[in-house]
Amino acid sequence: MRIVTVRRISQIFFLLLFFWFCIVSTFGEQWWQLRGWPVDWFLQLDPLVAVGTMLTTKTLYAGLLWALATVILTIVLGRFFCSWVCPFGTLHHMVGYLGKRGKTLSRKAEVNEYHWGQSIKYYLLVFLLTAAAGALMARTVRAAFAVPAILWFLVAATIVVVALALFGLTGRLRKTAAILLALVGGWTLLGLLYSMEQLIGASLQTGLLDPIPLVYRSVNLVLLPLVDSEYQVLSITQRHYEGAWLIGAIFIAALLLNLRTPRFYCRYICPLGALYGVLSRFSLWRVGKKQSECVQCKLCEANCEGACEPTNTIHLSECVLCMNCLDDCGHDLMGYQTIPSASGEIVSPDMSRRGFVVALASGVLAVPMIRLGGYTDQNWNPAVIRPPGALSEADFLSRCIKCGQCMRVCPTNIIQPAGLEAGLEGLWTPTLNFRVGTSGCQLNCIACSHVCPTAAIRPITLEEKHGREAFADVGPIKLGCAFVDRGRCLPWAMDKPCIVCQETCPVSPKAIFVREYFSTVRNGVVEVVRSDSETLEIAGISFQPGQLSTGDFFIKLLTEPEGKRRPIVDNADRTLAVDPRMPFLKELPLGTRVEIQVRLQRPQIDPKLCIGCGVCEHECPVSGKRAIRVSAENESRSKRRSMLL
Amino acid sequence: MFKSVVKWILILKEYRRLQAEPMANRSRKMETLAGIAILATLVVIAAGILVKQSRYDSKLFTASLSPSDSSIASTQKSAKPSELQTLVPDDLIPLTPLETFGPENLSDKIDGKAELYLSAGFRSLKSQRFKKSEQADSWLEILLFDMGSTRNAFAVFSTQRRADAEPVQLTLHAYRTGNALFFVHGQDYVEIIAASGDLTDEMLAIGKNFVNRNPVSSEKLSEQALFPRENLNPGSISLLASDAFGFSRMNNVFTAKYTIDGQEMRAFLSLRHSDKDAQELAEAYHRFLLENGGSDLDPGTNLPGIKLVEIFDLYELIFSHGKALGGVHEAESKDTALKLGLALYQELQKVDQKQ
Amino acid sequence: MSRRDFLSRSVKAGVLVAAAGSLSYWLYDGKGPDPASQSSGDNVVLPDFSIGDLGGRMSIITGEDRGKTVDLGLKAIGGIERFIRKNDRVLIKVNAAFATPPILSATTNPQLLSEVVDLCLKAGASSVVVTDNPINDPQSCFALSGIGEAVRSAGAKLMLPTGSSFASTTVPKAKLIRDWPLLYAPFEGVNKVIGIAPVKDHHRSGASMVMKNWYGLLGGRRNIFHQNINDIILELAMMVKPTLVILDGTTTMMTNGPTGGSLSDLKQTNCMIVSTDQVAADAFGASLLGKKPADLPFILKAQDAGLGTADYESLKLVRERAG
Repeated sequence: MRIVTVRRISQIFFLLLFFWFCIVSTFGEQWWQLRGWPVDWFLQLDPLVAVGTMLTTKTLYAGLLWALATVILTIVLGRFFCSWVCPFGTLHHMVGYLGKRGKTLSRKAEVNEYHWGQSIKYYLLVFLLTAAAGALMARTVRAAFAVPAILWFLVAATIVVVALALFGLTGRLRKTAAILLALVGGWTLLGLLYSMEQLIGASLQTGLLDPIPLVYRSVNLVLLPLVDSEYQVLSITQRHYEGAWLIGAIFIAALLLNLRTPRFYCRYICPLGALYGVLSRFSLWRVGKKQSECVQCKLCEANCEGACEPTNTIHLSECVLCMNCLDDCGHDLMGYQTIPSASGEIVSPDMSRRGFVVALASGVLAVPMIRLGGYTDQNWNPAVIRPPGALSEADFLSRCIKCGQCMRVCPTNIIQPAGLEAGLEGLWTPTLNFRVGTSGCQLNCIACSHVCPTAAIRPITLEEKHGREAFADVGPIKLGCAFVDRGRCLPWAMDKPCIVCQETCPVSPKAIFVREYFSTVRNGVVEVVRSDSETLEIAGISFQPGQLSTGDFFIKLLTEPEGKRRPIVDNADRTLAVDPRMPFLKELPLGTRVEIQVRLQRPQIDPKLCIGCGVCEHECPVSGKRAIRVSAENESRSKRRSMLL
Repeated sequence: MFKSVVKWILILKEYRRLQAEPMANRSRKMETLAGIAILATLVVIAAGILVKQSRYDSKLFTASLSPSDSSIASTQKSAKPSELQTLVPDDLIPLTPLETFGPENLSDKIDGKAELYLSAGFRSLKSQRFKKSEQADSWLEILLFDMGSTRNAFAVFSTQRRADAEPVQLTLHAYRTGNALFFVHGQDYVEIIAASGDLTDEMLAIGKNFVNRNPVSSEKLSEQALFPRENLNPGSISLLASDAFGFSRMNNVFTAKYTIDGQEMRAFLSLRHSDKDAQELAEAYHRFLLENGGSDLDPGTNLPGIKLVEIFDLYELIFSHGKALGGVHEAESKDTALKLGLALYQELQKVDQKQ
Repeated sequence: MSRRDFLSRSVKAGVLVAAAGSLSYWLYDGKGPDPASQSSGDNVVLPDFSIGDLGGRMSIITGEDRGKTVDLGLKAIGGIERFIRKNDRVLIKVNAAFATPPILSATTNPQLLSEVVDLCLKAGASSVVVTDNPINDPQSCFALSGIGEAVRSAGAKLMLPTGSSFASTTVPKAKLIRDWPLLYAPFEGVNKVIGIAPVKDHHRSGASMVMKNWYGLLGGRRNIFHQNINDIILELAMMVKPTLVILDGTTTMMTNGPTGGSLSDLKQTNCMIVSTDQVAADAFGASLLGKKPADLPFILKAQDAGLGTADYESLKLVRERAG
């Protein structure tokens, strides 16, 4: 059995497994629904997620331990993940294959030549990891200053290095020392002048380009809703995701670029591949030539996935172990062996020092620059409502990898990918939109918190969500608070009875209560023409027959005390019939003025009880800009935003 | 698990054998071996995933109205059993905690039906669900309504009597349907409703426990005995607490269904505070009927105070006798109305004679 | 050659694997973040600045000249030297809440402040810091109230609140001041704290005197505490246990507090109160406003919490007239 066959089987296995995980991510207990399917497994295997969160949170969270397995296998075997496991890689491979069909051998080899752009992914990796490590670096500097011993040591070391650089070392070593000095010295100086923690933050942005979250996002939020729109097996209503067009466009663009260059994304952009490239330098087995001389037919490069040029000096960090060269070489000269390639290998990624420093500096500067917008501080956006269990904003942004799992699993489809509402850092992070979807945040649902791979939405129990038992004195988790827009609400602004929000408020006792108010209808002061004990004929406005028979309309005699109103049970054009249980005891003289009033139950919110679940907003009949809207004030994840004590 | 271990052992054996083979063959064989090893790993992964999917915390998936089972179990052990729990047999355990409702939030539990209870003097509701400890889907709910008086309890009991009611020997006023038990005891109205049909025995046991533990001297609903027994539809005696027949002053009215000559009609009876009150109410109701489109007819009897009204093609008979206001409601013919009315009148007379 | 190469590579790979493994083990967190975690982390708690062995002392000096009355007041309770020793680092918390002129008596009087700074420095203090986190813009408050100038000319140091001056604090046993930003930077290295505040009417709490003065140490959106004003004043008194308080009742703002705005809001009551017991000082101050301690719930709450006594007569009380 050829190893290439096994590789293909492995690729198909993991691709199908991935699609299966995407399909079953519907909340439910059937075999084709969530159950115990480990749908986050690919994300947990992804070492970039693990390393990123280790840098931002200084912990390795639970399931992310799987990444250790991937890391160990990569260290020992090389970049196997890219061409054996990665579902995104498999998709690129397939499209690339289609793109290569019909091309000549020399053209195929040409397109697989090593390209300088392949070093871009390393710079991206440095940038992303530095942005994640910002706070850690600041802490280190501060720690250095806090302990006098370390400070003196640093000073001593600096002096030594300076001395060596000036007098001892020569050439490359001197240059290296000088640059190291510049970096360390500059950083230390910065640390002296600025209180670093104020300036720097940690922001986890690896999710933007990390292929595993990217492919999860693209399949779950774009592909599946499109495919399912006809048969609606995965969801009984059409799923909507804001901004899906961008996610889809990026996905399709990445795939289509394979027609130009096979594995375009893998070679030029993928920071995970870059990480593997760095980790694989000590691999025990590597692809290489068994002997140096060969006819240079370039058959091996025609199908080389990694563009590592195995014919001559192989760029080891680019080799993705596709094994095509082993298969294609007519003279059986390629092997996967413990000795280096006979025609030489380049182990290190092709990163220039300058590029490295630029990427590093950009990563360090990017986060505080973005945070100048104040989105995590005073300028927080009240329209950004995070799912129940979400950490406070700065902590949340240091864990969210924008994988979209919470959006996929939410049974009511209200978790949406954010655009720029939560700042640039918040792109594609989950935010709740109660106008979309089938209802508000269901009272008894904690699905999103249990599907988040990094605990940006930490796993909660129903007790915690409802504020019961052990959590009784903390109270329920509040996502925000509902606010009645009195200028739009039907009973407040339009004299129209409506208590949909109060009826649908799911908490008990309800957070929405109503206050009764009687309002005279437009032109509602009319004169009596004729009357008997139960009916009145009026002059003035006329009504549609039955218009006033809904039980909300009342007649008030101006002469009678304030509380006394007679319910109107029916009406014709200009005749009104009152409830026979409250007849007019005397006939009303001609010309008596009566008021026709409508009973309005005006909703009000009790902020102590409102949990911001958004069911009221979803059900409000004013369906454009809703007359009752939830915003993030009083959310329990952030004490600074509380409205009440 | 065992299978994969065996696989690995076989692969290792094969590997050792290959060490001895010549070079060219060896690399081919190594390739195959490696391939098999990898495929074996894929199988192990698939197996692992299949195992994982069956092991999940079902608490997370039930759209539960209740806290998780485990926390219930712990509160069970530590907390006192609720008042309702003391009634249930041992093989039933609480599914939800005890809930209490008062007049202001009764609608949270029973929504629109609250109106019925509130107008009948509702005081409080205690409810709790229990399930069979082995079967999660075999559960029932006990609703204990404190109505303040037997009369009130009877009012809500009787007006909600289901069509498929089967009488049951439990209290004076009790019946069951396929999956539920309803009864009045003292001032309480109790409903026990099961999710499935197999809990009848348990429900009856609960009912018996309740009755035994709460000895009461029931307020006798004397009006019931006053209805003539002939042609009476069994179990049809009802108490309308207020707004009987659409007239707001008609409250505390007992009604009973009769079938005479193939026609259905109701007799009604209400004991008022005094003779004068009864007479006044009779007159008021009479007027009410006339105002709403009724017309007087000759009752066809000389007995004093009996009025017959035809309204919308049906016949109403009204009279007062002593403290009692009585009559017939919605009879289809004059004669049957009169017949029933007179029968009722006679019963009332009998009572007078006894006293 | 290749053997050695392979071996060296294996070792390096092994080291890398071990490093990855141990890092994962060290940082492994099976539980995830817990509900109460905030990224700020460390809370500070203010130490007790009071001088314990002196017992409760209070002096009430009547007179018009603030310099004279405060001088007499301090002498009457044992002299400034009893409280401020050589090389002490003193923090004076003033009321600089509004950018109003001193004549409106909404802020601490600059002359009074000068005199106190002077006395502290004379007693040997190595540094005197003056601070507040005003309601209006800090620059304008310290400038227009005259306090900034007084600080400069008296030789003390003014610390304006900046973003990094705050640290999270939780007052033990408190319900409101939990994980709340406190103006902590001025307290670094300080061992004596003096609060100086004028007597003012306050719309919400009834009065604003020395206990309420500590409100100016809170940061964040502290307005939220106005919903429970008496409890917050109680917790402020729990948070700060000062060495001394000086309650300036020379010109009392009788109405329209705490901002006042008109001279007609003021009454010349000519009283200077110097005390080691902030509850007692406020209890007496209430009388200048024509109120009783019972009218101001926070006073009795503070007394019940053991932070002082409302019965100022029971302290070592000295009453004097300034000549």
